[in-house]
Amino acid sequence: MFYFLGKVGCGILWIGSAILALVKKNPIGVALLALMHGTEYFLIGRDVGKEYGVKKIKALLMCLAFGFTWWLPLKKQIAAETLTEDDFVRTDHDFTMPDTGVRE
Amino acid sequence: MAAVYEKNAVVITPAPKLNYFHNNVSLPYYYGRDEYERRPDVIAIKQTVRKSLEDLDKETGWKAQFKDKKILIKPNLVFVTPPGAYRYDYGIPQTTDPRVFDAVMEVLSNICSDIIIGEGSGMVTWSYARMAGYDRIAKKYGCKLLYFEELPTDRYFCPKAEVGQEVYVPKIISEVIKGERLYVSVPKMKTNIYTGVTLGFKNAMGTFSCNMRYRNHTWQIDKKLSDLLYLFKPDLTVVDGIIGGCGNTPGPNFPVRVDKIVTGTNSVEVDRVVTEMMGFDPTKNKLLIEAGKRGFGDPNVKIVGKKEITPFIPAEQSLLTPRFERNWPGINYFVGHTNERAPKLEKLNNDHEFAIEMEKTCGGGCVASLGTTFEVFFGSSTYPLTKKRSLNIIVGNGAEFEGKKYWLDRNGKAYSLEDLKALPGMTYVCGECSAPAKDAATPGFWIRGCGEVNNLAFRLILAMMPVLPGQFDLNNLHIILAGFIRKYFIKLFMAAKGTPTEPNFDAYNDGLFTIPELAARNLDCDWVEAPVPPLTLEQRIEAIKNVKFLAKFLF
Repeated sequence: MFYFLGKVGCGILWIGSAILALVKKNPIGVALLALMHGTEYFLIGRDVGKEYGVKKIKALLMCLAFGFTWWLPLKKQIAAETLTEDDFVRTDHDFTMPDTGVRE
Repeated sequence: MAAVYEKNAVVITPAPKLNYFHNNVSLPYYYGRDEYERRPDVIAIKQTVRKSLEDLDKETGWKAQFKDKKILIKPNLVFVTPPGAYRYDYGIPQTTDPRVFDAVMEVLSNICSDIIIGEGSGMVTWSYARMAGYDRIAKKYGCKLLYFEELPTDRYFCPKAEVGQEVYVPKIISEVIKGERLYVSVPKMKTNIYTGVTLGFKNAMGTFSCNMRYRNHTWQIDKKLSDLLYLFKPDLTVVDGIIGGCGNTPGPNFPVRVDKIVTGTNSVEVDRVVTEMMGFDPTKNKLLIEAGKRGFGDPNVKIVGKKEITPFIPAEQSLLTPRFERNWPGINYFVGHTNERAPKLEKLNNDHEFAIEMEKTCGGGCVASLGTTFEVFFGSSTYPLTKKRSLNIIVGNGAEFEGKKYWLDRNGKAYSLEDLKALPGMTYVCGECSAPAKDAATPGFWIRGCGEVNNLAFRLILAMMPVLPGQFDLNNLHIILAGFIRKYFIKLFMAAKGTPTEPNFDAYNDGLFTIPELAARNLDCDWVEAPVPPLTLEQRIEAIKNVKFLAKFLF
């Protein structure tokens, strides 16, 4: 939910900045977003994309558009799906049945 | 030519006892790389599937039948819900585990020449296939992935069928029907609120487009699905019983660690064995009874392996259960039927058992759809806050007593239409037959159609606001939206071309869709091809108008 809203927010920011740049001839918003998201790409997004198997150009575009709301969920998924042999050992604790509601 | 086996077998193969919960719903991001192939669960699943199919081959020789043949393989894709989409911390076990499907594909791709993966989940298969990773499986094996709801249809008549005499199926299924392509069913081991269990041959429900699904999606659903066996049946069935699903599927179900793969050449017998393994009596399951009655089973089937029972929580096709009452104390439910199956109302004060008898006379349709939707609410993270939300629900055309219609509450007490109109709060009247009670409905909440599952569910969601369904995984919302847009435009295009992807919605009652008189030579056939003539301009315009973005009742 958070990342979804974050992506929507990024979209709105880009649209707002583009309007500002085109109508008011003020490119500050576009420049800031591009600088911030571009830096994120070179610092983190590029590596996360590579690890995840995303093509370079797609990773660049997604990172420029959505910044951390794109790469952070991927990074979290990579962490969650990086498993060791121990993760596959059957234990009593690897699954807990939730309350299924009383049945008679 | 479809596969013809001299003898049939069902093979039960246990899998090593591991923790299979990682990626049981969707493939990991590194699917297709070495690290995927090295995972202990993937190795174990592949070994188990291979062993099961090898053992089955020793008994039946299925590989020789499949050698260089074209095949259609169908998983069971329902909703794809990763951990956290509901208030449960596991991926909901509704869809065939993509790891199992990948293992089956690996075996088949070494034997068969042309494999097509096909599925119709009823909603947006394109999206669910992407969420689960089936698109990546298709890419890995270089095969097509078809979404049945987007394909043009062919029509068939089944003279021997009791309910499903006129059937529309996607064109690719015609290849199966005519024996040009073999059919492999890869279902999930799970319960189902409409049919008790959903396994090998019930999986064919996914070949229907939406409007075809809704036809006779009532108390006749078991007959309808069994009738489909006249048209086509699986040549091979592989049941994913690694993690089973119990409870009110297709609502969010609960996992059961079964650790088994079951394979077989006769899907009715596979289903019978698996039903037993789930702790149910197959001789009491209506779906299996109907299939058996039509002669699609094989009493001489050989069962290989130990039929170990892992008890599954049954699906409850009723809103009169103690569980429902406890979960939803604010729901007032009234049911009454007058039909040849319903008990006769002889007094106004009856008991709970009588109400249950009354309700039972029409299962498989609206009541089961309501049960599914309530299960969705139960799984929602808002449930603890909203469990006391109140709503009156009325089902049925009313039971007659002294010339007047009555509906029974959970204690068997009868209410007239006037009593129902006087009920406080919102009233939801459900199902086509409930027209006599429509005046008691809150405006906009008499829901027409018998088995129009999506309509019933969406309206119930509106009626139950602010209770929220929990299954919408917002991280994948863009994929779901893209799927709806894609489906909408494809359907529009097909309708404009004059090859609609489904018949018009016509399931306003549970009557039969009979076929025209056939020539005597056709009466003994299992099926007769009945091509639909190309649409006229007016019919195309009508078909375009009938294409809806979300569902028939919305837009």
